[in-house]
Amino acid sequence: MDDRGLVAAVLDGDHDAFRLLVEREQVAVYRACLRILGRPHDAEDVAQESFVMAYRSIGTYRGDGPLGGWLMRIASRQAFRRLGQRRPTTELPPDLPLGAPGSDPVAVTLAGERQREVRLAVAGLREPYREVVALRFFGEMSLEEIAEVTQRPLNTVKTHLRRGLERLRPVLDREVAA
Amino acid sequence: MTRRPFNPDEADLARDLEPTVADLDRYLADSAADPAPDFADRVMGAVAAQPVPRRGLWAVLAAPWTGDRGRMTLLAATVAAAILAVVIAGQLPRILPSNIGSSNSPEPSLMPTMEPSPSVTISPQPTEPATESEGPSASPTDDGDIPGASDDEEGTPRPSASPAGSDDHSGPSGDGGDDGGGGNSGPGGGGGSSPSPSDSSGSGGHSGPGGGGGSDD
Repeated sequence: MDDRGLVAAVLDGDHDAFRLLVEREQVAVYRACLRILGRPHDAEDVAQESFVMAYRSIGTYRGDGPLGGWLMRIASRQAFRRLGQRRPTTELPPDLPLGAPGSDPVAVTLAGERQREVRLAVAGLREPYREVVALRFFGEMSLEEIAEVTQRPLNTVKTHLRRGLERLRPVLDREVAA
Repeated sequence: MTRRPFNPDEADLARDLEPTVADLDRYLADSAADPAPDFADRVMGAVAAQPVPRRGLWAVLAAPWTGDRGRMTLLAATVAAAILAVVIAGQLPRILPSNIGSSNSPEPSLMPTMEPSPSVTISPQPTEPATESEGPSASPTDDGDIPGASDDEEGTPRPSASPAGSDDHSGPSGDGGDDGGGGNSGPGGGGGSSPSPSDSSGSGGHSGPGGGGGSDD
């Protein structure tokens, strides 16, 4: 079933059609939320919220770009909003990769710390750079899909991505040096 | 939707951004986790409590134009609009006022006749126009040139009252106005003033045929 047919079926009250959408997109949406938030619990929570929000507003889907990209945009916005509501904490993030038994705990800790730095650096970007970087790297969407979903010219999306990466570079380099 | 690793050529990135891209790619590789197996059930449980979504305004407006049937509707509407445009274009001559485009063309042609009033031709004028203006036949010829009246109104030089009407046309072309140089009366006068060179050329330069004829007379 294509996106338009799926949306039409959902609007006709077909819950199974929406289940199709959830099963098709759940992994991508969940991963994007996890990459933004860093905590599996929060990621599942926000991903579920995003699906419910998409269900409620699926009548506003205009067919610009893939339905999965439209959903990803909702999810990334929700995730960044949730991230902004978090209180700063000094505890070790619970999303540290556990690694294989016997792996070096220092290396595991350093890797987890690096992930956190990348995540926070992206979250600290201004819009529209943050959205484009997040959709491209965390949502794993192509630049053409981002252009369709955001209704911006492809060259504009490329420019936003380039500028976003240019702003990320000094932050990440500084963290590495530290 | 997996698009890894990122290819810097996608966005024409500079080389110095590659370490940043590598950082992000590494982060993606390390954070590739899956949701819990019952995630979809939980989502559907939450969705079941929601009312059936309503169609948005945009979806309602765009519904007739989407899908295969919508494309046919759009095509039919486009054809109908094109036919309507052709019909309206065909009716335009009837709809528009008929006097549009019927501008009196003689007016622009009058202006050039006003410009050339060579002062050189003044000297031969008193002799020949005097002979022509004596006869009342000069005025009928002027009446034939209706624009001649407007020439007088526009302030052409009026040295004398009686020959004025004839001077406008015959004045400059006094030397050759009768030879048919009427339209190009100014140049005709110029030809008259320069006797031998323009005569030899005949149709040379500005003087034109009228000029040559005038000097011959």
